[in-house]
Amino acid sequence: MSDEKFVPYIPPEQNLPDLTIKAIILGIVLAFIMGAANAYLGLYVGMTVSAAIPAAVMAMTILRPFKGTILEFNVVNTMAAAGEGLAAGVIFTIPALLVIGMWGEIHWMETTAAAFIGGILGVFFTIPLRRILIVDMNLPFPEGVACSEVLKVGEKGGSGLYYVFSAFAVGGLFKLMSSWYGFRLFQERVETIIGNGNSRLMMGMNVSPALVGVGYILGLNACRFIFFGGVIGWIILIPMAGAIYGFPAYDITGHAYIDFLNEAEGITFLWRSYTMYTGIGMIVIGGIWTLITMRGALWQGIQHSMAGAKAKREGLIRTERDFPMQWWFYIIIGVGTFALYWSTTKSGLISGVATGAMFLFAFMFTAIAGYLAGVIGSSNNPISGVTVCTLLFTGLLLMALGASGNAGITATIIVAAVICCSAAIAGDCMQNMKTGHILGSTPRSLQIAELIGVTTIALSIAMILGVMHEVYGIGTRQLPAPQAYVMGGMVEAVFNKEIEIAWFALGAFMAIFCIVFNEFAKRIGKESWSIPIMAVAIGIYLPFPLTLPIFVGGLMGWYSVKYIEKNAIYPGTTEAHESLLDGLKERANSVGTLFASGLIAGEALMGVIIAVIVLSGIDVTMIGLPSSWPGLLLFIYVIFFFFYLVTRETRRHKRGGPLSEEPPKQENGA
Amino acid sequence: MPSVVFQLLSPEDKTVLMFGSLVFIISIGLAFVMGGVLPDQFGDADAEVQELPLGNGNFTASGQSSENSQSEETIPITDGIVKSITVKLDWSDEPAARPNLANQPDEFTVSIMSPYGDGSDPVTGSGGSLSSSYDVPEDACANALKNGTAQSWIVVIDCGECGDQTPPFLPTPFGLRGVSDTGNAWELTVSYNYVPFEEEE
Repeated sequence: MSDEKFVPYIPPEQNLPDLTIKAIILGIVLAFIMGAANAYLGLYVGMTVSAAIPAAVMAMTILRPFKGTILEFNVVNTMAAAGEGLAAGVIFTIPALLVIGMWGEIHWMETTAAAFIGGILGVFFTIPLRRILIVDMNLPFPEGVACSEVLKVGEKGGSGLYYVFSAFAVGGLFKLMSSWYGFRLFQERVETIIGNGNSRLMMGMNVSPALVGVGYILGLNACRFIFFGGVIGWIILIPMAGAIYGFPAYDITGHAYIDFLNEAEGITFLWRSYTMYTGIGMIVIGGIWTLITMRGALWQGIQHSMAGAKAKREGLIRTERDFPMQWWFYIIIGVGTFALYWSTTKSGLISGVATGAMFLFAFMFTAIAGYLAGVIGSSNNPISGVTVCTLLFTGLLLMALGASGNAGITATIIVAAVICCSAAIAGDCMQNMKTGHILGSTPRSLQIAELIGVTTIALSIAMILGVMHEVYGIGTRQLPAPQAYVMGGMVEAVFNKEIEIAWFALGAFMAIFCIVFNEFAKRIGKESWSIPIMAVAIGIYLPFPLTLPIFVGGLMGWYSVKYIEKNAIYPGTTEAHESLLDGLKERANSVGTLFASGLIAGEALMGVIIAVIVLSGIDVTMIGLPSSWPGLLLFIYVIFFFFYLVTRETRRHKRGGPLSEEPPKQENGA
Repeated sequence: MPSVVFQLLSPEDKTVLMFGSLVFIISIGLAFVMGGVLPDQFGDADAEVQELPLGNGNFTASGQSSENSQSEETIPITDGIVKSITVKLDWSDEPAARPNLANQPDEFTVSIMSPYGDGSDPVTGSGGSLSSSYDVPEDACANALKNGTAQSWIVVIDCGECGDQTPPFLPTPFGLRGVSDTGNAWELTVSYNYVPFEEEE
């Protein structure tokens, strides 16, 4: 699985400026802006936007007149993404204390300490993971690939530029037209509810070309298992939950009868209350099993990162040099964590055990989040699932130690906040490390950039949240903080012993079944039968309308290869035919990856522009209640156009034309 | 530059792009033809809610909560759909049992859970009285009125730390010198106004 022969865009022996003063200043500014924007968006509409690609584009635009290098652009987007990731980790947890009434205002010291410790720990933990997930396992990291493609075509131009920027325009325009806060010309999702009585299922699809791009980069092999998980979660488990609990349903604590405004909300409610836990159960067991299977590589990675200080002396090449880790860094973090927990719980026993558990859980969830980002990308990374899991584990642990009531709930959320911050930045960090791996950045420079980005937002997030709470009121109609309500409600449910453990156990059982099946397949020499547990788990967890376009992207890529094989004209000999097919497939893959990258980048950048529109309070909507069908029509055309571009060279060859002399070359480290 | 790009396109490319332009124009046209106006969705019903005379209702309950426990009071409302609701929780802390002891206050939290899945923010205090209010959003009220089903509201009462009676300055090892407080009685008063259901003829 290793890509030892891989040569990055900037070779290891070439030294370009990367961690320069201008890159650091711009990175700090963008980390703050992206972190603040994401904090507001997350609290307002419950979503966050990926910062890496927009920050890369901004870095290219701003630093180019100052002779900025591609490695400097990578440093800037890494800092911005670290800030954005940390903000997401904080807003999923800390505001829960406000909305469930544990805090009346933001506690600056605890918030800053939790963000800082969690963020720094997340960066440190991803150092050994970089080598394993990116170099050894070579996971796809679709957004990391997309970001590197954008930076490369921005640097060298050529025909690849047309593919990336035409897709960039398509992805951005589509997002602007479909977003609820954009032009709102059509719905972002086409959906229909099938069934009657209590058993209903929702068939639907997000009309997002960027998700098709993600599917194309992932390939059909991964996509089909994500889709399979989606089928289990949304076509089998959701109707089952409806049949068991009724539709519309009672909420998780059995308190309130929900009077749904529409049926889709009822389906979402069943997912959030029951079947989501099946996905989480599977992610946890699958994640633990993944860590067990890569324990040897993990230990090597830790040793490698600890030996980072000696790397230069030992002649390690530039692109393999990591930040020099030392054991005493962890001791300082441990002391800081203990102090934070002690200030919350006032119990030495609970604080000591919670500090130890925090290290264990933080490493486990950081590794899982990094792995998930490698499989599905950071925008679709089910980080909320990781957060739910963290709260669940922490709550159960503290209850076992005797914590209870409001004090127990507060302590759980503070303990979990550190772990969530650590896990939340892991996905973004690993995506940027993949970008750096392809471009030929020095890992050490990117890791220092992450530390600066994390510090920037950790020192300012309490102020940002404090101002927002003062001005709007977190948890009010002006700033509803939907994720915080879910997380806060879940911790209360844990302490009231009302958590839906059966659905969690079902997921855990399914993961164990897959593990046993995979081991059996390995024993009989049929490893191709193996089921990738994490891909299936992601499919169960993610809303089905997200997994369907990803599957379509994978399917389109697979069909384009079949199309090439079927339509390439036989040149006379088998060798010549194979050579011709390889050439056509390579060109198709290059064009496809560039176009997919552009789609992802365009949607990400437009997401930030729409965030600015929301922040400024400008209303650009054109239709109050849009229909979904016009969007579907346009979406189908975009898929057709994508397929047309990927297979264009084959059709030209079929008509008798020569192959293009300079195919858009693309190195993705895959 | 656009003209250079155009020259690079084959006739097939141009056909595909022309077709795309056509699909784009049709999609935008369809979007405006098929789209509706959001404010009208509940607009008429909102007006109906605002114009209807409101009724008033009351509900009282009393109970006893032990330390660090939660209890719920269900308020069945069958006359109509609630527009706003206010709850008031009162309790009296016991006086100090001995002159040398100081009574620490009991802490209660009260919140309202609406039938729509949300509710009021929890209010916490130790002064002997708490109140919390919740206003139902117009659209939810109008929609519930259309359905015409009776609703159940829930008041959640959390009894937190019940302060023991302790000497003012000295520590109390194993609670030997203090008087422990294990809970408190309370009274709940609920008042609400509502849009009445239309009576069937």
